[in-house]
Amino acid sequence: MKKIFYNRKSLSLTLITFLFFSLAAACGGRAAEPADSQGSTAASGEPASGIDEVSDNEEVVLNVNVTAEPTSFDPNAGIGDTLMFTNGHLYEAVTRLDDNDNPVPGMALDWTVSDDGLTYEFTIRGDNGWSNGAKATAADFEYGIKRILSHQIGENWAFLVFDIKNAAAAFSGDVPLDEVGIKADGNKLTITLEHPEAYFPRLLTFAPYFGVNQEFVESTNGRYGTEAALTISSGPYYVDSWEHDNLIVLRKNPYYWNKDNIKIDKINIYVIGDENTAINLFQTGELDIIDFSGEKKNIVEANGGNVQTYQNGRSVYLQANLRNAVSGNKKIRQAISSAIDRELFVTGVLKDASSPAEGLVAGGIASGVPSRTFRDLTGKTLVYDYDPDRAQALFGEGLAELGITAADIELRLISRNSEPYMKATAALQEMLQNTFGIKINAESLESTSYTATRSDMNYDFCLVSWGADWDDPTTFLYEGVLGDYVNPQYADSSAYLKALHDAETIRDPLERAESLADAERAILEDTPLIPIWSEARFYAVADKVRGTHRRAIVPYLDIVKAEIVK
Amino acid sequence: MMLNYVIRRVGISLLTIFVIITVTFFLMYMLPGTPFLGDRPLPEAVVAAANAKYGLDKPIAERYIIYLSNIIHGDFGTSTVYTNRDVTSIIKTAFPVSASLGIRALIFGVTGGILLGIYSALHHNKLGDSVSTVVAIIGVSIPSFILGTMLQYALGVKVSGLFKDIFNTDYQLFPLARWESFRYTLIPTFVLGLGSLAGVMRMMRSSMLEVVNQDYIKTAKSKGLGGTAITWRHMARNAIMPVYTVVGTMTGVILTGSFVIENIFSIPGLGKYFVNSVSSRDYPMTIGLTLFFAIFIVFVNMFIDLGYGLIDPRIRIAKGEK
Amino acid sequence: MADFTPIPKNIEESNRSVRVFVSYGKDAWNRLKKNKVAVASLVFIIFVILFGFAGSVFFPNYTKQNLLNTFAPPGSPGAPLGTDELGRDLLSRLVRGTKISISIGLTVATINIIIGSVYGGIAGYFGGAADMIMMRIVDIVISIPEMIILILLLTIISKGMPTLILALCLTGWTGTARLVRGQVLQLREQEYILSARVLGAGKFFIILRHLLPNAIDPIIVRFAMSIPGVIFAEAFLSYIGLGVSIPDASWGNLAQVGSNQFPNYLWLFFMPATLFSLTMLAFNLLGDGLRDALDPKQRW
Repeated sequence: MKKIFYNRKSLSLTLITFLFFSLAAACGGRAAEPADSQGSTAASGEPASGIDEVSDNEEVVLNVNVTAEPTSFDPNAGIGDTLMFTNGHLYEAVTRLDDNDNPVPGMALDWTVSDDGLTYEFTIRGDNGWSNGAKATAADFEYGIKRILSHQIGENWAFLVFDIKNAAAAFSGDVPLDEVGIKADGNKLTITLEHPEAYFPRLLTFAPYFGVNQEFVESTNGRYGTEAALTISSGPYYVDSWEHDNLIVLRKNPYYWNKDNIKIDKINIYVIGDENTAINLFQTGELDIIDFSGEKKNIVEANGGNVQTYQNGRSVYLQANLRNAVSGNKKIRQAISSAIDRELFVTGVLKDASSPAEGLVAGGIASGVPSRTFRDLTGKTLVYDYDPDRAQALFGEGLAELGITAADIELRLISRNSEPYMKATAALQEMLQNTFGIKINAESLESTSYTATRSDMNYDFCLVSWGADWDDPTTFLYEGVLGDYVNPQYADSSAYLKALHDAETIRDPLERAESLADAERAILEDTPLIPIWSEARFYAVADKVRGTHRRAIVPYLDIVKAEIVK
Repeated sequence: MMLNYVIRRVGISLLTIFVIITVTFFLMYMLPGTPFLGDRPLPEAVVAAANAKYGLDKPIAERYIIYLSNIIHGDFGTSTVYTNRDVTSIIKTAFPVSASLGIRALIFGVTGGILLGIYSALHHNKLGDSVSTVVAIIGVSIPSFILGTMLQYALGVKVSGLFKDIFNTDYQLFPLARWESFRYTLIPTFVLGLGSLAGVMRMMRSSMLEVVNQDYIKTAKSKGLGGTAITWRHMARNAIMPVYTVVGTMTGVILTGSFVIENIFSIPGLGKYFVNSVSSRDYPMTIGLTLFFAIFIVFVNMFIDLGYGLIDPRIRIAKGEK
Repeated sequence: MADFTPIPKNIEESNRSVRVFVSYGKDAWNRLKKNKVAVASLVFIIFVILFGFAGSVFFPNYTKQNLLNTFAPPGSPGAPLGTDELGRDLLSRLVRGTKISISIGLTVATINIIIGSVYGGIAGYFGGAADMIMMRIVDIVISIPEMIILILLLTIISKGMPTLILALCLTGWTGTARLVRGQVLQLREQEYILSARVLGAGKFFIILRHLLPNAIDPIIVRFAMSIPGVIFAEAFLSYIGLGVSIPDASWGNLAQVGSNQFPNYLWLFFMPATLFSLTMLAFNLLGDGLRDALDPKQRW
């Protein structure tokens, strides 16, 4: 019936298939120019037989990844994990953090503080240069701050520099720029603060405080930091090339003051967003350092990876809406805090290196006492930890105060729609529903809807992950608690504010830390925030790489002292 | 007469694009939140300054007019997320990559689909039919993020690892990620194109089966026309109509729906910008990208519609009637 | 001459139909029954639907967590298919996921097919300006980023199945519309349409009774193929975190969680993925079978 002439037809089929493949192959040339695809290979694109044969003439290369494209190389533009990682290696800040996370000289050779703790005078070194040959000076820092305050860049993050005297006023235009408390005079940089801040030297390692070269920046006509050619560096590395969303190549800055101690010649920063992909690349040796979540630990280990953990300075807590009846009731909040089995949470839900919360301040955050973290020093300040009996008792009291029963309660719990917060929310929902017999509607919202809902206070409880902005407990105790739409009630609580400001006048770090711990205990007695866990991440480094350092604040990874050994 | 028609079509396409942008513009601003909200509460002065910089302090009607006049000058605005980078420059870098991926996937899917569809129809209900059906169905049954993850691991880690062990080399047979040379394009193209392949195959097959029974085929056979000639000159040409329609839709889908693939294989395309820009309320980016894709899709559709006339003469005449 | 005997002339005899009259529907059904693959697919689909709906009665507890028993492999006591990252029984979650996904798939596909067919039929038949405007509206709907519509809906109406269905419907009918319009453009020039018009049939009558039923083959294929498409769309939404709300389950979010764990705990990945894929396969094969069965030109 339907006779098929196999010969002719299969011939034409074959012909077409062949044409198709040749077409596809021809299109191969249309792919992006083959960049240095295997980080540690020679330019021919074929891999060198191994980076073990590092001779003096060969480049020492490190391959790392970031999970998203850096939004800019302009340090005054803002903060963010990726940004801080790249900018942290491109710019030399006034101070640096050493391996124990203590502030040590960076651009500043040394510094003095006035007796009232308000004025700092830094002596800036003269031997550091920008990657285009210009000299790095104290004026760079003054220029950087004034750029922000004059609305040229980084408006959304300007408040981070409001510690400086008159900065906020200058930003609103109430006060002229030269009355702002930062002055560069030759090699002296003088900074005057609004309030005494014992941790100020640490704060200087934070991007908005980085200096930029005025002449170069002005020559780029507002495009500074958007391309490799429009960026210069004062730090150990400069940007050699930037293929957007793909690869950033850093090379040693020949004008860097400490260049002889920089062992890596070239860093390839790949933009790899997917965690599985990054892990796979680590296994094939194309990435030397990766960072990942708990559940993949066994895979990396199975392939010989050396898995370690670091605390990334994030404290995760349930934030209550104090305006609503149920979440506004102190006994109910204390009951909820007592109902959460944090140990089980960490081992059963998170399964990573995180630890149950001991207080509001995350682990790994400095205390001000050299080489000791706050948590280490003060121990556990969490008053309402897991205690099922107390939970029920308090809950009963709360119900009585409100005059309702458990069945009447229906709460809205929101979180971001990323892991592990989604599964944490599911676990919390189940835990609390079962313990108290209440109803909880859990919703995970996409990024801006989440912040908008929080801002509108359209929730009963909200799962918040608060990352440290600076390496001091006040980033949690002050910012985390008192933020505008976070806890308006506490903004009025003069007692708490006073306690925090008083702590700032204490010069002795140990005393100050203890005073802050008292403030923390006070907050946790009232529990407007119910801490659950302190985050830690896993990371793995290829055996041949030494000297990388992790810390609890951005940049989480510091590779300035990294080197590759055979 | 044809020219008249073309001009009218272009005019209508432009109008369509205009409506698309307007609707998107207003919808975007209806979404709750602003680009500057964060976990950290911002002092009012800061929010005001940020809004002023991006022109968000003006009433929406005014913003709309400003935006339109900028568009005419080719200025799509500056991203609120990627400081000081123009939307146009981002598109210029990222679009060629997405397009490359999309076109490869399309070629793979359509060509493979048509061939398999014809083959399937001609071997209706025999083994060849079933086998190609199943193979193609796998394409529609497995979501791309599943298939992508599996293949990346299976081919990129395991098979490539095996290759390295056997031949004692560092050569990465199936690259895990990124978009550098032809080798890198293999797995992503396959994963992205498989869905279309299956779709096209099914369409082509069912449409071929219909055509196969038409009288004009019997006539052709009785005239003594050979198998290949019948297959191509008569069957395929008529069967291809529904496929043609579907391909039009697919073009848009592939070029914009590659987000998942681009994410898994770290391909520096536009997909991620598109998805993330809505979440971060990067208004210039979202509206700029929508505009860009709208222009693209609308004109592709226009060409497809015009193409109908070429393939099926009856439509040409029918249009003339109006 | 003696070899041939004339057949008696019997009016009734010669008028007798040799072939039994069977209605179109019954005829199609018979043909379908003969197609073993299609029948097997239909049976499988029915089984899956039962699994989801009846299963929900027997395994209702898909939210119960057991933080001490997470990632248990299949065959563990109390969890025949293993447990997930929060210790929830995978079997119950699969059942729930089946119910949700099938419901969403069938509902959205049906609505989309109806809207799309009518819309495309009208556009294709009327042609000219009406067609132009209608198709441009289709272009507009396709071009507006789905993400915006989704987020907008999810914010105004809170997350949940009805919102998801609404969102998927708002954007999903366009493919069918295009397809049907193309078919109708082809078909309306056929002679029987012309004769219907000559006989005075109204425009809508022609669309509904003549054009659509004859365009039905690709519509059916389209329907069979759109169900997987809808479930895919839901899976994509889960991938970017916009799917069903916590703690609900759907094939999309089960597969997504499983793929996050890949290559750990492979059962978490393969069970939803396999169920999902086989069901999609079944729908497609059934669609094929239906197509074959419904084509009147294949009567033999």
